[in-house]
Amino acid sequence: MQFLKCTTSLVLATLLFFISGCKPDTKQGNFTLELKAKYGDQSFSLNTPNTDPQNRRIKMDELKFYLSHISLVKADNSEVNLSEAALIDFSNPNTLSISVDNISGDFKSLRFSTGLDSVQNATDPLSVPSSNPLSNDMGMYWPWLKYIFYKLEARCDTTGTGSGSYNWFPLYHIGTNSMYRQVTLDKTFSVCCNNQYTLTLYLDVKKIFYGDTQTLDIISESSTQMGTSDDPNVAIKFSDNFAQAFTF
Amino acid sequence: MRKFSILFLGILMALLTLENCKPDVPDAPPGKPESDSLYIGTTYTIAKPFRFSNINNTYADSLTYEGVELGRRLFYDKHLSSTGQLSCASCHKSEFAFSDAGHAKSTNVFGPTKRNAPSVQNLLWAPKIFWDGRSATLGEQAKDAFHGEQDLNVPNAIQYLEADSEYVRLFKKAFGRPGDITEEHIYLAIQQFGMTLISSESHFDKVQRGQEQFTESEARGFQIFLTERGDCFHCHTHGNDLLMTDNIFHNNGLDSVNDVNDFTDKGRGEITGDINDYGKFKSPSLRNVALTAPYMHDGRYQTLEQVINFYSDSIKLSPTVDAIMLKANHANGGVHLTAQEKQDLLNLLYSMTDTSYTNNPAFQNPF
Ligand code: HEC
Ligand code: HEC
Repeated sequence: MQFLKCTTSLVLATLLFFISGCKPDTKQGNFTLELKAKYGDQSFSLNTPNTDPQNRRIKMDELKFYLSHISLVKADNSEVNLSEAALIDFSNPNTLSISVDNISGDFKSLRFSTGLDSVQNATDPLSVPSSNPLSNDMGMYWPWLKYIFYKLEARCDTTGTGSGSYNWFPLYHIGTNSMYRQVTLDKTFSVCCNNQYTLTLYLDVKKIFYGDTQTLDIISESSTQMGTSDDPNVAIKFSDNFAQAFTF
Repeated sequence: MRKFSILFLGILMALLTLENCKPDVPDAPPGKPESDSLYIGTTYTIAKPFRFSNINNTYADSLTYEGVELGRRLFYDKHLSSTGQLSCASCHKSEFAFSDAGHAKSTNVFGPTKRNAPSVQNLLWAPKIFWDGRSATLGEQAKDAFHGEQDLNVPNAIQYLEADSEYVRLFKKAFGRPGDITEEHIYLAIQQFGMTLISSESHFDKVQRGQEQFTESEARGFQIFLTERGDCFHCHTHGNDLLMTDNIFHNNGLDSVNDVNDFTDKGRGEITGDINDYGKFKSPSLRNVALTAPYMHDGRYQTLEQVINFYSDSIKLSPTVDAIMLKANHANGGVHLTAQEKQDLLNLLYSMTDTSYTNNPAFQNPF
């Protein structure tokens, strides 16, 4: 009896070895989207000052936001989904890359949205598990606003001397459905043949304030929480600039 | 990639079947269980209150009634201090939601404590414990308190517990066998008791559940609390839940300092060593806050009126002050409330008092 069991096992193992050995090579590869931030041509990290075009020092305490419906667009316009919703938090390196294994194709662009769509925004954060980016534990939900799409908290030294004290505190907590933006960025690349392809997406923090078409003034437009007491135009400007601040 | 996983699977399966090659061993002969065999306690299941966050505490699954009961006894036992004068309950009194009401600083076996003793409740949901977050679990926290506040002498304590037949019985029921009176088990039992301290039956909760109604003033107060008018929700709520704290560290603008090194108490910064954390403290839960005066980490405010006046008009600047505190007015922060708004906010805070918590017989002194 024992002998029989052993023999079967060995035969099984040998068989499986050969079966797997005979499989033709797949054409699939692995893909990683990596998020980094910069400030114009300066490097960026939290709590570290950058100098703005008016020679003011600015440093961020917090930079945290949702990206949703992230996908890679193929040459034939079909899409490979990377993530339905991702919470990017520059204080947590684990949130700064998104990977998918076993995909293949010739791609022409990266597509994503900033913020959450109206269905996602209607989620009860207590109804999803803690590991879900929409969970209550992520610190991105207020009952009166629903999800905070973009959270940026900064400290500025407005003296222009480069050594004054931090005396100005811009604060942006932005949500509501109308602040959702869609972004498509072109980039031609292929994933195949057991290769690892990494695409680095930069958030240029400077562009949030000094956008391509409009400037968000850190003095006169220094805060919004999209509530009653604030000017919604600041939130709209922030959301527009934010969506245009991504580059490869 | 797939090729390798199939290969791996194959080897694994083969190895699993090879397990069968071991000669068959007969089962151990059936026998009477020994009287001292492992005692399996009765599972204590925590019911998550209405609109509380998910329970992510790894210890929540292993609670037993026996462990909790033992923990309660240890919590109230004064013998577990070097002077024989202090128990946890000396500074954490059930009638004040386990705070040391009336004392800005408590008195431990050496003299005054460094900080104000906060209320204790719903810490099952707190990822970090103490004003500065230095403990990650209630067991670590109990160890800290025993060695700090109570100056516990471990060999003496164990000798005392072993000499007490009631404790011998309780330890055995909670942890298994005689000889299980250990330092670690003292902390684990207190941790179990601590996890059952849940407050969720205030008027405020009942309003959220639709069982009671706010007065007009409370309702206005809640609006102030929950919106940018008062901005309290930033730090004293956590998403959509009702814990009334975000359990995160902030500097809410109590002190004016130019240099972070000038904070009298560096708070969270003392633990992380990060100057961005200097002067930050864990947001306390506002549940039962009407019972827990004096307020703040050093007990500087005697009344809730003083606290509200502070948030309204006396926010101070320092390098780590939370940006939220300065939103309304960068030069002189504060949300600048009217007298009526202050009264409304005060009434809201009073609505969070939960006497069924403070009177719960399961949490009282068993001696
Ligand atoms: C002499 C008074 C005193 C005694 C005795 C004492 N504590 Fe405390 N307790 C304090 C003080 C003061 C703090 C705040 C310390 C800090 O945060 O740095 C505190 C904090 C705590 C906290 C943290 C609450 C929170 O929200 O983070 C818990 C839990 C606690 N104590 C439980 C206990 C237990 C359990 C015991 C017995 C083993 C005990 N304490 C003994 C004074 C005391
Ligand atoms: C930026 C975060 C933040 C905001 C906003 C905030 N608090 Fe606090 N609150 C804290 C922190 C942190 C503490 C503890 C500070 C300390 O002791 O150093 C605290 C302490 C308190 C206390 C004392 C509790 C105790 O047990 O000692 C009360 C009461 C309180 N806050 C009420 C309010 C009210 C009412 C508002 C709105 C007007 C508010 N808070 C806004 C963070 C905040």
